[in-house]
Amino acid sequence: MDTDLLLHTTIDSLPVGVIIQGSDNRVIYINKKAGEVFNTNVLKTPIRLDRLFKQGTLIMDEFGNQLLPDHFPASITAKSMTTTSVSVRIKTTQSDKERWYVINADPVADSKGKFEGVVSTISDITETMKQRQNLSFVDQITASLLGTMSYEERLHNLSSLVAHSFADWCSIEMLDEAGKLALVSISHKDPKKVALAKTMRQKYPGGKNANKGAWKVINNRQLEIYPNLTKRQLTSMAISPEHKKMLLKLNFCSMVIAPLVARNKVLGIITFAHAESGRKFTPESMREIEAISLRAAILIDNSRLFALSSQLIQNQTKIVNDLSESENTLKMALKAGNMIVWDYDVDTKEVTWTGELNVLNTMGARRKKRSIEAFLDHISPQDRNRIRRKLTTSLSRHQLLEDEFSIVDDKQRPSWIQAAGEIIKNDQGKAVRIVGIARDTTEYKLAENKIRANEIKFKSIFEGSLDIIIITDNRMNIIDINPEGVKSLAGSKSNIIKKKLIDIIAPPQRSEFSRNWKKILKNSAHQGTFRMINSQGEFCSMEYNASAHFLPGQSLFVLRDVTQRVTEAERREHLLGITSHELRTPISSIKVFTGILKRQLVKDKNKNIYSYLEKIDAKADTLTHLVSDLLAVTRIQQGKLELDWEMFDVNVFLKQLISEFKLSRKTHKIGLSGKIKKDVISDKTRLSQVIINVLKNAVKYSPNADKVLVKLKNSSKNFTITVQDFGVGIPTNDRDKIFNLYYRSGGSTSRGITGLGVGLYISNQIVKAMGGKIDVISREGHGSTFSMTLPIIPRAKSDEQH
Amino acid sequence: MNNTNMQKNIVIIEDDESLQEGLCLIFNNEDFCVRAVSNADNLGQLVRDFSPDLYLIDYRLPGDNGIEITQNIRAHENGNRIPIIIMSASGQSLQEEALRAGADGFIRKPFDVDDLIALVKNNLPA
Repeated sequence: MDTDLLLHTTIDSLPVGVIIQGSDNRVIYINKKAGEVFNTNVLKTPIRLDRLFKQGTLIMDEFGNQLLPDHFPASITAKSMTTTSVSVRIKTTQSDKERWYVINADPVADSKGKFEGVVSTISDITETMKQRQNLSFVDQITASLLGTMSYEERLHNLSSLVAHSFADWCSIEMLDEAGKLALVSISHKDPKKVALAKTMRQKYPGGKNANKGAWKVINNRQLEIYPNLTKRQLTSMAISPEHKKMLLKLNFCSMVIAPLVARNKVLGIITFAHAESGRKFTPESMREIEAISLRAAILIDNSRLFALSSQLIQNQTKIVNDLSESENTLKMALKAGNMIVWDYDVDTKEVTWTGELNVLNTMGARRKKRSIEAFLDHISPQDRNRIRRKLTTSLSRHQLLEDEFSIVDDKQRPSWIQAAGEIIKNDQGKAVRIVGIARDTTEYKLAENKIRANEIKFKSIFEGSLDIIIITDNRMNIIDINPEGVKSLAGSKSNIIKKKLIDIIAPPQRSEFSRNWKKILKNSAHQGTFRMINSQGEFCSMEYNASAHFLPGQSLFVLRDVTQRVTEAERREHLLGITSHELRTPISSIKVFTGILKRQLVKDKNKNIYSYLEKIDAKADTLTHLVSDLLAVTRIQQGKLELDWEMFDVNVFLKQLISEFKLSRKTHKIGLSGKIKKDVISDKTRLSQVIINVLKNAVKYSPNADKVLVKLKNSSKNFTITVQDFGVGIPTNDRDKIFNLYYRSGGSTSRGITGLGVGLYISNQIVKAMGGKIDVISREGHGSTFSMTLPIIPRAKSDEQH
Repeated sequence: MNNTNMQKNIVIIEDDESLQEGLCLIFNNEDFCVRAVSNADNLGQLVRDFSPDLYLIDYRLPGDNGIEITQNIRAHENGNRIPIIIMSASGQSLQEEALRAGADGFIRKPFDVDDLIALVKNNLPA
């Protein structure tokens, strides 16, 4: 088979175009695909690359500028002997639509390195580019327009970005108030050329011929294209020999002047020019030119609106700050912006607007245009005349217009609009238009009304409350107090406003209050009771509820005078003390007489009667414990379980306790094991109450067992007393209830087990108060183990020691 | 001193009649010479006549309480410190208060007779 034919057939079937050029740059081969791309016939004889294309085929760079043969990738590769890759746009007479290609040119050399030619491949990337085209250069431009720079800086950025890629030159000129064109920016890669252009622009600002150049663009609002500027054309523009020299030096060869139009108003012009690169503007590059001019126009327009809107926003922010510093709704609404731009034409008496505002949409028509009278009719009657008046004043005095008004929609719902506008004057200095922005402030208004309503609510609570309400700053200074507070604590408001909250706390509790203050600020909500000094200079008990930071930097205290309640509690406590005393006294007598009798019987060696007496004595002890338990329950429930700390040897303590306990419980052996080396700090009386209760239960609930094991051990910080029995155990269902008050194990009565059901409740409460805990392990039918773990040095104690 | 057979004098102040009777019985059996009153009203006269070796005082009494009586006794004695034991149905905090006021011993009601006798004997000068 003919290898040459095979090769041709293969290359022809490739989805990419292939062009092969010889060392003289003439095309010697072009495959089918390449022929389709350039709309050309398959080659018969070698020809020059530019001759390859039929008349009407346009090859452009990615910006739409005509690509000259010298800039073809193959030409560059032939010169540089390196691989060149270029994106191009090609348009043929056959199709209106241009397509995008990547042309990749590779140099071919023989074994000795001698240049033999160039192989170019042409891949169609139209689909990819279609997706990308909106994100390419124009977006780069857009991105450069965002940011925090001034708009002049941003405009300059834009022109310089253009001059580094899209065109050789770019300049932006703006119409000033006097109707003159002012140069804002001119850019070229070479700063020397920029200087030259600036000098020329200064010296020859250009005439005002409405039919030529810039002014034609401004007046017609249409861009002007000079695709091929000849030297003659350039020379004809010159006003003086010097100007001519400059123009020739700048050597523009292709130029586009575009108007900058925003909201139907010409703001200036932007000029693009090619010079030394020899590139030409084509109709295809107009899309980019239009996009760039539009963005530049928007940028200028925005900058004008910016001044207005920033003023508006400042006012808005002020309102927000005044009303409530914590109302997020307002801030979010502010963020959302939601504004429109409006334009009132004095001559036509029409208002037009761009952008969307729901309330304006409800006016009926989709048209964003209204006569001023029709517009004013929509404004609520209470605002209408004011707005009309302001409009007139603004126009006659050339003042900034600023106001807020409400509009009632078709469903009678009010919406609020805040508007500001700037007067636009004509050449004669007459106000012809007002241009401004407006925003829907309904959300703020509603929030404001809500806050006002809340304020009224708060105020009525504040004024009318029977509780005392005090507002302080973060340094405890009292900044407000309600009438009840004045009545109970101060006598007069001015008296207390100067004070700090701590000044009206009872002196013994001030340091505690200072400590709590930190907690209050930290936790935001805090409750407690404090003794304070009332207006009569007496101490009173105040229950307080603090909401720290209810407003930034402010805390709110609601205080209730509970002196009476506290006094009653004290009375009850007193009564309880008497009751317990009254109960103990007869028991004391019983014990005294049994004691006397016992001693007598020991002397008489009458063992029978002695044992009866011992039983009476034991029951008197039981009675004593019951009284103690009841007293303890009351104290726990009042939160008044007081502990008397002392340091002691827990080994000795436990040994004594158990030996005393053994006397009354002969049925069980109580084994004690384990020792701890440290002395502990605890409340002996309370601790024995706990141990006795647990031991009593151990014996009570193990009627068929004969022993109870007590163990003592310690860790570095805690000591543990374990009481293990071998009895009935605790049913699984009941395990979390055993520490409840008046709880008694299910079926305990049927087993003949008696008691008040307070023992474990008290024990648990005491252990908790001591900073410890009780753990229970139990197996039904096998017994229970109670472990009391307590701190060797309780926290309250260790605090005191520091 | 004026007790020839070394019999010790004890003053008991207890307002509960039954308990007072029991206490008298206990200390009589222990060979004490006992004077019992139910309040501190005529204590001065009693002390001058009886010259006690020890006081056993209930805390809760009509009129002055046990601690106030203790303070009174301590304020008026001249160089001759007589042991005082306070009895009370109240708890530990009172014990500290009693000791601070000048008492030498404290016993919580109800108590074992043996414990009371031991406490009294321990507080008597040999």
